Amino acid sequence: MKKLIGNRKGADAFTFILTIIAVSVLILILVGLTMKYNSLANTIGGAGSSASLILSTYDTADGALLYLDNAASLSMQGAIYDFACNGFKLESGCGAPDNYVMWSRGSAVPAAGGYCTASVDKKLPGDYSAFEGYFTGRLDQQIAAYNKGSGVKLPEDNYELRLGRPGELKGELCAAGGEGCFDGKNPGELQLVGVAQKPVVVEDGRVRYEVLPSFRENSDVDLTGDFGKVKAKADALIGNIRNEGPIGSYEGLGWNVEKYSKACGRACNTGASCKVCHDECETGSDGKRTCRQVCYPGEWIHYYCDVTAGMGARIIDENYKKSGSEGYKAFVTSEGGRPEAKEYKYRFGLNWVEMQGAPVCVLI
Amino acid sequence: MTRKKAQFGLDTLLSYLLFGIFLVFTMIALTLSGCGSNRHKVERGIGVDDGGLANLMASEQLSAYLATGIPEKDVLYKRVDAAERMFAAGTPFDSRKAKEFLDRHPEVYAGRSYAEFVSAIYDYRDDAAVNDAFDAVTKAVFYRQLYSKSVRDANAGRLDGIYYSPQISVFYGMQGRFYYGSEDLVSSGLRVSGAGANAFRQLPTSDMKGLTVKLESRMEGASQPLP
Repeated sequence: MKKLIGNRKGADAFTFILTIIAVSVLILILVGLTMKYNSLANTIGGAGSSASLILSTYDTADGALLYLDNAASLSMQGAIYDFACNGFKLESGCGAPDNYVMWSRGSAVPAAGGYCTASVDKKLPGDYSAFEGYFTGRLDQQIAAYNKGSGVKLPEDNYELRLGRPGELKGELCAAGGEGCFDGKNPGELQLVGVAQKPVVVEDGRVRYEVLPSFRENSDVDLTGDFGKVKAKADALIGNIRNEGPIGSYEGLGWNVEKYSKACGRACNTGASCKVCHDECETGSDGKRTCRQVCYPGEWIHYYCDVTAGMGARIIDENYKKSGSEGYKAFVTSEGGRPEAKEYKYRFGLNWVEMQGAPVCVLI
Repeated sequence: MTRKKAQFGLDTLLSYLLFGIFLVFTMIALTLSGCGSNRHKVERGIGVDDGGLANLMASEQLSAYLATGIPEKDVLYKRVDAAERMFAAGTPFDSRKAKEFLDRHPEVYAGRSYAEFVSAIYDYRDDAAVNDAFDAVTKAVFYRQLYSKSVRDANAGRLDGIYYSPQISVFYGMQGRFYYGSEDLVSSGLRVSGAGANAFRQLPTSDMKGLTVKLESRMEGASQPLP
C-alpha cells in the first residue's frame, strides 16, 4: 500500500479504486434506502393513513348502523299496525271485513230451574308479547334487502327485544301487578330496545372492526298504554252495542262499530224435561165429541240471539287532521305495490248472547 | 501558485465526481425532509389523505341531518315560506305544491325524522309534487345563514341575507354512490366554493328496494389538517 501511494501512478490508481468503492457504497446505500422506504410505505402507508383507514372503517359501520336504525323504525311502524289490527295477537292477515280476532265468545248455558243464562268467555289478550313476532319478521326482511347489495352484512335474527315506554322504571316499588312505573318523561310513547347478540364485522385490509348493532327506537304510538285502555273499554262494551256506527272517542281513541250482526232464534236446551200436552178429540158414532189430553215428553228450550260486533279504535292525532275529516295517526307503505296511508287501528271482535223471553217446552 | 496541466489528473476529476454524488444525496435528503416544498407537495409526498377526512366529515354531517326531527306543521310551513323567499333566485321550489302534498300526506312528516320523511315520500314517488315537497322540507329544516355572526357584524350586515342549505339528493335504489343526472330527488341550495366532499347513506323503504341519499359538502378548509 505504501509502495502504491508513494508511486505517482500508484496514487492515481488508489484514488480511482477508492472512488469506485465510494460510489458503489453510496449506490448500495441509495438502493437500500429506497427499498426500505418502499417497504415502509407499503406497510404503514402515508402519514395518518392508518388513522384514516380506521375512521373510514368506522364510517362504513356507521352507515350500516344508520340503515339498521331506520329499518327498525320502519319495521316498528308496520309491526304496530299489524299487531293492533290483529287484536294484540299473533295472527296472519289483517283488515279483511270478517276477519276479527275475537276477544269474547258468548254462549247460552243451562242453569238450575229450567232456563238458560247468557255467559261470556273473555279471551282478552294477556300481554303484548306477540308484537315481537311481527317486528322480527319485518326487520329481517329489511336486513336481508340490505345484505343483498352491501359489502357489510348485518346479522339476521339477532335481537333480544324489550318493549316498554320511555322512562319506565322497573323495581320493587314499581313491580306491583307486573307493571312498571314512569319517571314522567316522554309519556304516551313506545320504546323498543333491540339488544344485539352478534356483531357487525367490517374488514378493510389491515383493520377489523366489530360493533354490536343494538338499537333503541321510539314511536309516538302508545301501544302499551292503549293496550290497557282498549281492554277496559272492550270489557264495558260487551252486551251493550245495538248497531253499527261510531260510538265516540274515549281517552284519545276514536271508537267505531264496524260490523254488527244479530242472529236470533237460537235454542239453548236447559236440560230440564217437560211434557207437551194437547187435547186429542174424537167424534163417536153417536156424534158425540170426546177429548182427552195426551202428553209427550219434551224439553225446556230457552231461545237467544247471538250478537257479534267488529270493533275498531283509531288513534286521534291533530297532526293528521285533513280538511273535512278527523285526524288519525297513520303511516305510509307501498307493500301492496301502491302507496297507501294506513291508519293505526286496534281491531277486534266481541261476541255475546242475549236471552229471549222465558223458556218454552218443546217436543224432543 | 500555478498548476501544471498534468496535475489536473484523474484524481481531481474523480474528486469532483464524488463531490457531485454527495451533493445529489444531500438534495435527496433535503427533499425527503420537506425543505423547499409547499404544503400541498408535502401532503402529497407523505400521503396525507385530506380528501378522505372531508368525506368523513360529510358522512357524519349527513348522518346528523338524517337524524334531525321534522318540526310540527305550523313551524314547518312558516319555514317553507321563508325558504321559498330566501332561495327564490337560485333553485326555487313551488311552496304551494309542496304544502298541498304535505296536506294530503301528513303521515310522511308528522312526528318523523328527516330519514323517515325521505323513506316515506319514496312511497309517493309517482306524485308530481314529490320533488317540491322534498326540496321544500329539506330547505325548511336545514337552512341557515351562511356566515357566522362575527363575520356578518364585521361586514355591517351586508351578508345578513345570504343563506345556505345543504345539497342533498336521493337515488331510488341502494347503491354505494351515484352521480349527477341519475338522482331522483334533488334539493340544492346556495353553492359554496371550496373543496368538495360527498357522502352517501342507504335507507330502507317499505318495498325493500331501499334508497341512497347523497350530501355534497363544500366547506373550504373545514376538513383540512391543521399545520
